[in-house]
Amino acid sequence: MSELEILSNLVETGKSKEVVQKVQELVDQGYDTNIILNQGLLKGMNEIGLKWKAGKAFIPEVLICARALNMGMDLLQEYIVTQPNQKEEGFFIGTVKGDKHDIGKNLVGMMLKSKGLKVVDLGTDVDANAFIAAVKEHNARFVCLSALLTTTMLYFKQIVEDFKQAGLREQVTILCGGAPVSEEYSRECGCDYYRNDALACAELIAELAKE
Amino acid sequence: MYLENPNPDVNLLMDILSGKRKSSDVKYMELIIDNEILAEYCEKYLNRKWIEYQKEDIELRGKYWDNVIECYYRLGFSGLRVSNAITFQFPKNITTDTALVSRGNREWSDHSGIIKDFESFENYPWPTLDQIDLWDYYYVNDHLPKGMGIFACVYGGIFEMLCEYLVGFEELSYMSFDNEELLGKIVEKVGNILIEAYKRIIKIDKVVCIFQGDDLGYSSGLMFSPSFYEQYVFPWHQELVNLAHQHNKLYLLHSCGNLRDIKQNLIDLGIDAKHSFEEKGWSVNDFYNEMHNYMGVIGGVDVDKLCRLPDSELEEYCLKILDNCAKDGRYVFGSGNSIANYVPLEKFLLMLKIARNYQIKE
Repeated sequence: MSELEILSNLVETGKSKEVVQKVQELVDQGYDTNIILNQGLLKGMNEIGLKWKAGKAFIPEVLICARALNMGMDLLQEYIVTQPNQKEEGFFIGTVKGDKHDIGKNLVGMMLKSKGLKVVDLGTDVDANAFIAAVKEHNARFVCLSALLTTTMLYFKQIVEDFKQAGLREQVTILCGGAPVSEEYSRECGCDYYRNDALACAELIAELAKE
Repeated sequence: MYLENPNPDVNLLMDILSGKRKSSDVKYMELIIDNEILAEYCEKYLNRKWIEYQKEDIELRGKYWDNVIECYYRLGFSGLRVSNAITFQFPKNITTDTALVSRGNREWSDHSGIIKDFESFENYPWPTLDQIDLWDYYYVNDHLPKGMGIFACVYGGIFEMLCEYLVGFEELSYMSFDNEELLGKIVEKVGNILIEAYKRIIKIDKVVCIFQGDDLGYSSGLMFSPSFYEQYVFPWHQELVNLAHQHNKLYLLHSCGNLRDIKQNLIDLGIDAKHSFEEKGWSVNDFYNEMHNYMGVIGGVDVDKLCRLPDSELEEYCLKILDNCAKDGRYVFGSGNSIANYVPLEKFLLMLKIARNYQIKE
C-alpha cells in the first residue's frame, strides 16, 4: 500500500490524529501538496461518500471522516498558497427561513468540500434577501436550498421569485433538497435541480461547475 | 364531523393490531394531534371554548384534558396518547412558525447538545423519580368515556434523547467513536429513568399500550448504523416490550425513516405494531406487504399528501392504502406521522370520513 493510500484509508476511517501525522510526514518527504490533497485526503472522503451512497456507511462515519479531512487540510493549508483544484467561486448553501434544521445542509457542505469546492454556508433560517445579497456580493452562480419541513419548503418558491425580481434568476442555478422535497415539488417551485441526498447534490454541482 | 354515538372500542383496536381479531370497519388512531388543530375543531364543531394546557394550574389542566378527550371521542377515536411524565432540560432553537395555524414560534432541540464529557454528564440536572408527574395520566384515566383507552408515553425514545436532546447528532456521531464509555453511561442513565417511569404508568387501568416514539432514520435510510442501534438502543426497547407484555399490554413503536436495514431487528424485538410512514421512504403499502405477518401497522397517510392533495386525489390515495392494508387485518388507519398544526383541519376530517365510509372487503 502506497503512502497516499495509507493517508486515504486514515481519512476514510476518521483517524484524525493519524491523518495529521501522515500529512506532516508526506510534506516532510517532499510530496507535492496537490497530490497529498487529491490522492490522499479527498480520495478518502470520496470513498466514504460512495459507501454512504451505497448504504454501506452511515452519517456518523461520514462526519468523522470529514473531521479527519478538515484536520488534514488545515495542516496542508500551511504549506500551500493556493489550491489549484479549489474553485475560486463559492457555492452558497442554507436552510431556508423558518427552519433551523442543519444536518442535511451540513452534509451537502461536507460533500462539496470533498469535491474540492469552496462552500459558503449561510446557516439556518435564511431568508431570500440573505441569499440574494450573498449572490450579488460574490457574483455567485450556485445556490443550494434546504428544508426539513412541509411548511418551510414552501419558501423555496418565494426565493425563486425574489431572485427573478432582483434580476438574478438567469445568473444563478438554484438546487434544492430536504426530507419532504421531491423532484416534482422542485419543478413546481421553479428550482433548477433537486437531488435526494448530499453526495448526489455534490456530484451534480461538481459537474455543473465545470461548465 | 361530530359523531353522536362514537362507540369506541380500544380493546378491539389493540386486538386488530396484535392480530387477535379483525373488524368489518376501519379503525383509526393518531400519535399526536397538535393542540392548534384540536382547538380549531373544539371551537368550530363542538362549540366549546379551548383551554390551553397549564402545567402549574391543576384546574385548567383538567379543563384542557376535558376538551381533548371530547375532541378525540367525537372524532371517533378509541384512544389517545398521554405523554411527558417527566421532562428533560435541553437547549432549544426558536424561530417563526410558518404553519397554517401558526403557534407564533416553533421550537426545536438545539443539535449542539448539552452533554459533551464526563463533567457535563455529572452536572446535568437529571430528573429524579420523585419528579415523575402522573397527574395527566390519572386524570385522563378517570375521565375517558367507556371504551376508550390511553396510549402511554413517558418522553422521547432512547435514541432521540441522545441524538436530539442531550448529546446532539454531530456530537453523538463523534462520541460513538471517541468515547464509548461516556456514551454507555448516558444511555444507561436515560434508559433507567424511562423504564422506572413506565413501570408506574403501565399499571394504570386504562393504559392499553406503550406508544413510544424513537426516530431512527430519515427517508432514504438509517441515521446510525445497525450495530450502533443494536449496542445502545434496541436493548432498551426490548426492556419496554417485555414490560408491556408482562402486563398484557402492547408495545407500539413510532419511528420515522426508512428502517429496512433493521427489518429483522424490529421483528426480533417483538414490537406489536409500527407507526410512521412516508411515501418517499418505506411506504405503508410496501411495509404492510412485507411486515404484517410479524407486526401490526398503523397509519401511513403521507402528511405532505394530506396537506397538499386536492380532495379527490386525497380520497383516491387513501383508498389505495385501505384497499392494500385493511383486508387482511393487523392494520389501523391514520396519518403517516401526526396531525401537525400545518395540516388543514378539513383535510384531516376528510381523511377520517374516508375511513369511516370504507367497507372492508372480505
